[in-house]
Amino acid sequence: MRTAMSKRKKIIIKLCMYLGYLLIAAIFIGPIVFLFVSSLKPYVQIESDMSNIRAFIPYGDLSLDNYINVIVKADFFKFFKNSVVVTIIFVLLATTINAMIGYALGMLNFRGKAIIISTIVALSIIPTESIIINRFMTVNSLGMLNTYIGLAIPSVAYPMYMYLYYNHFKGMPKELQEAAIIDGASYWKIFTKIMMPLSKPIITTVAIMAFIRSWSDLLWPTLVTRDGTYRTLPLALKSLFSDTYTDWGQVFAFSTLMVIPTMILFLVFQKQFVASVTSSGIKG
Amino acid sequence: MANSSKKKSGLQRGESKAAFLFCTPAVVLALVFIILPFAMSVVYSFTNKQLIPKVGIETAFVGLKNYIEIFTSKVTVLSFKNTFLYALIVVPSVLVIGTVLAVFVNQKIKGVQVFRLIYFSPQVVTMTVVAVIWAFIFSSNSSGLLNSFLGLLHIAPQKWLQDQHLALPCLAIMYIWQNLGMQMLIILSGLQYISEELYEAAEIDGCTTFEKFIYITVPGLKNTLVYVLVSVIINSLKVFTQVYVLTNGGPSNATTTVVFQLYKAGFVNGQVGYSSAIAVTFFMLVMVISILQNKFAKED
Amino acid sequence: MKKKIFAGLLSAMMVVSLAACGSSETGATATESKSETTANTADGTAAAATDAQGGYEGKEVKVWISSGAEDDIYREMFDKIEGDLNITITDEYYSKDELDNKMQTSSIAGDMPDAVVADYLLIPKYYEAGLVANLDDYVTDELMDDYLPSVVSECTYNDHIISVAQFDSGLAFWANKSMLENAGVRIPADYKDAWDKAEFEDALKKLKDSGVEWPIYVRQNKPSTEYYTWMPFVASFGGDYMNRETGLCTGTLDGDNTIASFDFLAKLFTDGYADATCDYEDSFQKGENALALYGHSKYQDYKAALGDDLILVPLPDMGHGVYTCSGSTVMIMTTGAQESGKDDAVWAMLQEATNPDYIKMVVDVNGAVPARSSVMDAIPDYCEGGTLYLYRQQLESGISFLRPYTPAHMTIYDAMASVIGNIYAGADPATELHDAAANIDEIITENGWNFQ
Repeated sequence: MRTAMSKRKKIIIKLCMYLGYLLIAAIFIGPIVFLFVSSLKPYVQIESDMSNIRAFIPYGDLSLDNYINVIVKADFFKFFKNSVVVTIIFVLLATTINAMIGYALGMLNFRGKAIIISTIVALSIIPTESIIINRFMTVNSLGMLNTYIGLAIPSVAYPMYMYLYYNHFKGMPKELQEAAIIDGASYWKIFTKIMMPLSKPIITTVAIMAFIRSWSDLLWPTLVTRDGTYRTLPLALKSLFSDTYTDWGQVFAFSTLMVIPTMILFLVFQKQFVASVTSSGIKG
Repeated sequence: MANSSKKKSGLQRGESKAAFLFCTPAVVLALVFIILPFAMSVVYSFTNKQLIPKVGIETAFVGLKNYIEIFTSKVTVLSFKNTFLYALIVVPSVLVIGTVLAVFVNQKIKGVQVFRLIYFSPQVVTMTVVAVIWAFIFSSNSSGLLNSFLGLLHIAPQKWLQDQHLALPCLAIMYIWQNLGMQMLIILSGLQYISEELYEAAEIDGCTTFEKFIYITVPGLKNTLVYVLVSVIINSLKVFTQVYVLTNGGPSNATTTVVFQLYKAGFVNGQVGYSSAIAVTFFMLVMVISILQNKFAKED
Repeated sequence: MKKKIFAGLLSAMMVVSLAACGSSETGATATESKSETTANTADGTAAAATDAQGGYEGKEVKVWISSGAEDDIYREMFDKIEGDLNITITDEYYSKDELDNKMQTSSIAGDMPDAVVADYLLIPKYYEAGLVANLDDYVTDELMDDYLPSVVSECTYNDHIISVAQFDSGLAFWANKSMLENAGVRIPADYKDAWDKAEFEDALKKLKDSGVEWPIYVRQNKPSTEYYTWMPFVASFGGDYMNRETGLCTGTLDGDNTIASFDFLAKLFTDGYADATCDYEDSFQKGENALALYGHSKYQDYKAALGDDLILVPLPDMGHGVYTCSGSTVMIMTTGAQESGKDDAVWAMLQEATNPDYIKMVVDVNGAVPARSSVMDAIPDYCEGGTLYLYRQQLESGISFLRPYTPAHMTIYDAMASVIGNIYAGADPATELHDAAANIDEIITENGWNFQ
C-alpha cells in the first residue's frame, strides 16, 4: 500500500517536473521557432500573424522565396565561406594559445605569475569597441588589413578565455604532472599529451564561446575588410537593413541560415560539451 | 610548496623557462592588440584627436578637458548609470535563475539532456539576430506578440522598447534569455564536484530540498559562482550590440550605455579623444570597484 | 626587478603610443599639403583630360556604394559603362554605417576609392577632410542646365560643385483618394493650391469623423526618417534645423518656430490622428490611413496596393509657405582618384552615369525623381496629369529645402532621430530640442565644423 502511494506520488512529481521542463523550454525555444517559421512567410503575413499563436506555426503562404532571394541576390555563400574561414582560424588559435597560458598559470610556478593573473583580470574589463580604432591602426601597420588573419587574430588573446583555462588547470591534480616529470616527460609533452586530452570539456566550452564570438562579430569586420573579398555574414545581414525598406522575410531567412550551422555544430559537439561537463571524469 | 621548489632549483628553472614559453604567444598578442591600443587610448584621451579632422585642424593636447566633459555631460553620466543599472538587473537574475535551472536539470530523469540542449540553444543565436527577433516580440503595438499574450491575461498593452522605464529591462531580458543557458551549463558542471554523500547525509538529517539547496549546493558551488559572477558582471557592463541594433540609445537616452556612448563619440561625432576618455574612465571605475570588492570579500 | 621590468614595459608602451599619436599628426598635415597640391593640379589634369579624349581606357576605377534598393540596377549599370568606356569598374556595396566607417578610416588605410555613391549628406564631412574632389572644372553647362534646381543645390557645397546626381527625392503626402472624397476633403490640384493650417487640421478631423481611425501615417516605426519628412513642416512653420550662416543649431533648432512645428507633430499623436504604437511599415497599404508622409520610395508598393486611389497631395502651408524636402544619393570623385591620375576615367564614368539612358534605367527601379528635366519628359508619370507630376512641379519651382548641408550631419541626424523618437513616446518637444541643440553645438564647435 505504502509503496503504491509513493509510486503514484513519484509519478506525479515526475509529471510536474516534465511540465516544468516543457514550460521553460517554450520560453527558450519559442523565439527561435518564431524566427524559423517566419523565414518561410512573406513579410505581409509575418505582420498579420504577430497577434497570435500563428506566429509560431508554419502555415499559410509558405515558400522558400526568402531563401532563394538571400542565396542568389544577397550572395549568402560567399559571406558564409569567409565567416567559416575566419571562425576556424579564430577558434583554433583562441583555444590553444589561451590554453597554453592558462596551463602555465594554473600548473607551473614562476616569477611574475601574480602580475600576469591580475593583468588578465584587468584587461578583461576593456571593451573591444573602445580600442577598435587604435587596434585598426596597429593591424594596418602590420599590413594585415583585408586578410583573414587580420580579421581573426586581434581577439585571439582573450582575457576571459585565459581566465577560464587558468581556473580549470588550477583545479587539476598536480600528481599527474609530477608523475610525468619523474618519467622524464617535457612540459610541452605533458601539456599536449596529458593535460589537453583531459581538458576536453573546457576546450569545447571555450571553442563554442569563441565560435559564437567570431561568427557574430559586427564592428571589427566593418573596419578591417577593405573590399568585398573578405566580408563576413554579420556585415551582409546588416546590409539587408536599409533606411528605406527592410524585408523582414529576407532578414529572417538570412538569420536562419546564419544560425543553423552553429546549431548543427553545437549538436555534433554537445556530447563533448554537455555530457562530459556533467559526467564526473577528472574532477576528483 | 616554496620549500620543496627551493630544493629542486634546477627543476624550477626548467619550469620557469617552460612557463615563459607557454605564456609568450598570448602575452605578445595581448601586448600588440590590447595593451598597446589601450595605451594609445590613454594618450589620446588627453588630446582632441578626431577620426577625420577637417583639413587644417591639428591634434593637440587638451589636458583634462575630455575628462571634465564626461562629468559635465548629462548623457555620458547617464550612460554610466544605465550601464550599472543594466548589470544590476542582469547579474542577480542570471546567477539566481541560472543556479536554480542548473539544479533543476541536474536530475537523473530520462530526456533531461534534451532539455539542457534546448535551454542552451539561444546561446548559438548571434546577438544581432536575437535583437531582431525580440524587436518583434517587444512590439509596442497592441497586436504585437507579447502585448497580445498579455491581452489574454487582461494586462494593458505596454510600449516596451519605446517606454523609457521598460526599455533597459527589455534589453536585459534579451541578454538573460540568450546567456542563461551558458551560465546554467557552467554551474551544472560545478554541481558535479559536490559529493553525493553530502546530500544523502542531509536527507538522513531530514533536510528539505530548499535547505539542501541553501546549505549544500550554494556553498559547494562557491568557486563556480564566483567565476560566473565575475564573467557576467564584466560582460554585462560591456553591453553594446542590442543598443546598437535596436534602440540607438533611446528613448530619452534610457538605453545609452557606456560602450554605446563611446562608440557614438568616436564614430558618429568623430571625437576620438573624448571617446578614449570615456573608455579610460570606465576602465578605472570598474577596476576600483573590483579592487574594493576584493578587499571586502577578503575581510569577510 | 619585477617593478623595473614593469616600468620599462610601461614606458616603452608610452613611447610607442606617443609615436603613433605623432605620426598620425604628421599624417594629417601630409593629407593637407596633398590636397593643396591637388587643388593646384586639378585644372591642369582636367585640361589634359579634355585634350586626350579616351586616354582613360584600360584604367581601373574603384567605387564604393551605399547599398539600398538600387544595388542590382547599379551592378548592371556599371557593367554596361565598363563596356561603353573600356575601363574596369570595381563596385563594392556596403551598408551606410559600414561605408561611413570605411571612408573615415580610408586615409589611414591608404585605400581611398576613386568614386563614392552615397547620401549627399555624408559628403561634406569627407569634403572638409580633403577626401572629395571639386568638380567645377569637369561638369558641363549642358548637364547643369538640364538639372533640376534642387539637384544643383545638393551638388553645390561651399560654392563648389562637388558631386553629380542621377535623381532627387520626391516628397509630398501620399493620399488615399476615396478616403479623402468620402470625408469631403478638398483635394488640392497643385502645390500653389495646398491646404493651409486650418484646412489641414479640418481635413484630419473630417477624416477621423468619417471613420478613418488613424488619418495620418508619418512612418512612426522609423523616427530617423522623420528628420527628412518633417523638414518641409519645419520650414513652413518658419523654422530650420540649423542656422545656415553659422552652421550652429542653438536658436534655430530650438527656435520658437521649429518648436512649434514639433509641437504640431506631437499633437498629431495626442489628438489621436496618428497611432504612436504603429511600429509596422504597411499601415497605409492596409487602408489604416488616408495620408502617408513618406518619400518617393514607396511608390511601387503603394501603387500596387491602392491602384488608381493613390494620389499625391502637397504638404500644407503652416504659415510660411508650401515646401518640400529634397536631396538624395549623389556620386563623387575622391582626391585619391586625382592623385593617382584616374580622374579622367572617373569623370568619364560619372558623365556616363548621368546620361539620360542610365538615369532612366535607375529611376525605373527606385521610383525616384530623375535629376534631368529631359528625362522626365520621357516618363508619363512626370508629365502633366501623371501621378508623380507634383514632385516635378515642386522641385522645378524651387520650393524644396535641403537638410543642413554640413560636416556635422551625422551628429545632427543622430540627435534628431532620438528627439523625434522621444516625441513619439510623449516627451516635451521644447525640452528635447533645447537639449539637442546644446549638445550638437558643443560637438560642432569642438570639431571646427561651424562655418567661419
